[in-house]
Amino acid sequence: MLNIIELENRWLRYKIKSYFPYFIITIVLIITTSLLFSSSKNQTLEKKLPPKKEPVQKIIKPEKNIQIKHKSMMLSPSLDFINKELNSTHSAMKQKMLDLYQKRAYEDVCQIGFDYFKKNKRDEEFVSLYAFSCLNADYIDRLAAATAVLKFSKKARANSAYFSLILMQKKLLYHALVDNYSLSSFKLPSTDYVLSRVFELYSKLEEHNTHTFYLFEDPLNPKIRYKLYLSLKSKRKKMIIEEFYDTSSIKRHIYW
Amino acid sequence: MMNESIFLKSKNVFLDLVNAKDYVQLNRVATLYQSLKESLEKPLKMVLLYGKPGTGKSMLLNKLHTDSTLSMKTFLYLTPILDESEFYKTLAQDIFKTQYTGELNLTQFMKIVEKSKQSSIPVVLLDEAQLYSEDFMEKIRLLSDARVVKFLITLHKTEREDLIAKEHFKTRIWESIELKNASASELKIYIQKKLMKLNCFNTATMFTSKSVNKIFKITNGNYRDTNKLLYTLFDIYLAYENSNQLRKMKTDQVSIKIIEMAAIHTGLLNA
Repeated sequence: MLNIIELENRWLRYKIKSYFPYFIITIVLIITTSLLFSSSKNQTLEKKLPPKKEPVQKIIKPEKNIQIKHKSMMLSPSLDFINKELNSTHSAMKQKMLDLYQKRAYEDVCQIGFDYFKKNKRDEEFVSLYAFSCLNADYIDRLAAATAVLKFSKKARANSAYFSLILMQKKLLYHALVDNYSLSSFKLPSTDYVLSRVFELYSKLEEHNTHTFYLFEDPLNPKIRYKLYLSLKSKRKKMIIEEFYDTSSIKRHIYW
Repeated sequence: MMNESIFLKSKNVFLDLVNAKDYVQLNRVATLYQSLKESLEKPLKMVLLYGKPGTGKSMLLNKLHTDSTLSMKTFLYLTPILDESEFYKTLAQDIFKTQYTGELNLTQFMKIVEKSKQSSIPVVLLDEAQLYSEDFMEKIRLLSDARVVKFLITLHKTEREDLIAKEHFKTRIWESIELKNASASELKIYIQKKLMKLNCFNTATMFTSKSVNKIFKITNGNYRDTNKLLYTLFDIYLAYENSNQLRKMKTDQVSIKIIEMAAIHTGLLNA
């Protein structure tokens, strides 16, 4: 008697073998068609769209009259909470945050502060420590909560103004890059934070069409340059600022 | 008594046997058969029937031999007698009822023929004539030239056999008939007639044009390959029936899958 199971298996192998060339041809056709389609689409788009703007490769040098703002226009934060010794009443958690801050583990401190913010929002030292850590870790949006509660002492208000300015500059710069919003009419105070410096340089530009990227030279040190651009890799566009010293990349800040 | 399975009955229909009662009359073959009969009744020396293996040469020869309407005496040799003496002795025994002991050669055989007085020239039907040597074929030619025996020989159509047909028989053969593979429509009639002849009506109706076309594609209309394929096909159905898996299958028409499985099993498809 015939071994039906074995014969069915042989038949299955035969079918797979006989359909394999068709499968390959189909895949090749799909790939070829999609390639042809995409290239023809690109050609059509190229015909319809105005010629692509060349990326800015020229370094935007500061104009002669662009100087770092007058000292009175600079906002300086208060870092007293680091300098003064923590008294014994401070919790172990705050001590841990300070230790981490001194070790430059800003992201960790920012995260601890974020987790315990509600419980400690009346402790301005805690809030400042949290806010500066987040600032150094480029978590700018987290400054919003800190600015709202820093109001009871003069130093706290100074920090609040400092953080809110950076937050606003980030939002404005992002709006400008994504939506081509003009910043030329803004005259805002500045800070020592990189985002503020780039904001100031950008806002000095005249109205223009969006560039692929901008290269700014620091007016105080020509060796320091900032590259500003939007990263389109993810769904949400991210604003990137790269710091260069003598063409070497020092730090990359990502904001979204 | 248990009823015999329709698949078992149908399977046996396609046993590759040369039996005149299984002969299936197709229009084209019927015409060829008629012309073959007419050729034999003419005063021809030799008739050649040729075609590729499995085109029905042996079956046609068998049918001719058993056909009662034929006016002459026919002697059928489906298996070649390769020994020359044995060949003459067999012919002497069968045609002239002469027993001969010892070696018998052409001259002695001719003497036997002269002694016997036949009212009509007997017809010898030789199948698989490509197996005879060229010398032997020359002697068969001499016999036919002497008009003592009429020969109908069948040859497989290959290059060599074409050569035999051309070189040895072109001046002597008055008629040559070629048998070809069946067309798809002929194959359908062949399969259905074969099944219906043995009252397998249920399985005969299973062969739709689609399934026959698939069979034709595999066998190229060759009768022997078709028989082999259908024998295995019904064997597969039988195996499914015996393992109670037939209920899951459609049996109103032959499944393409089972045709392919049968072709794989018989080696007609490479898997």
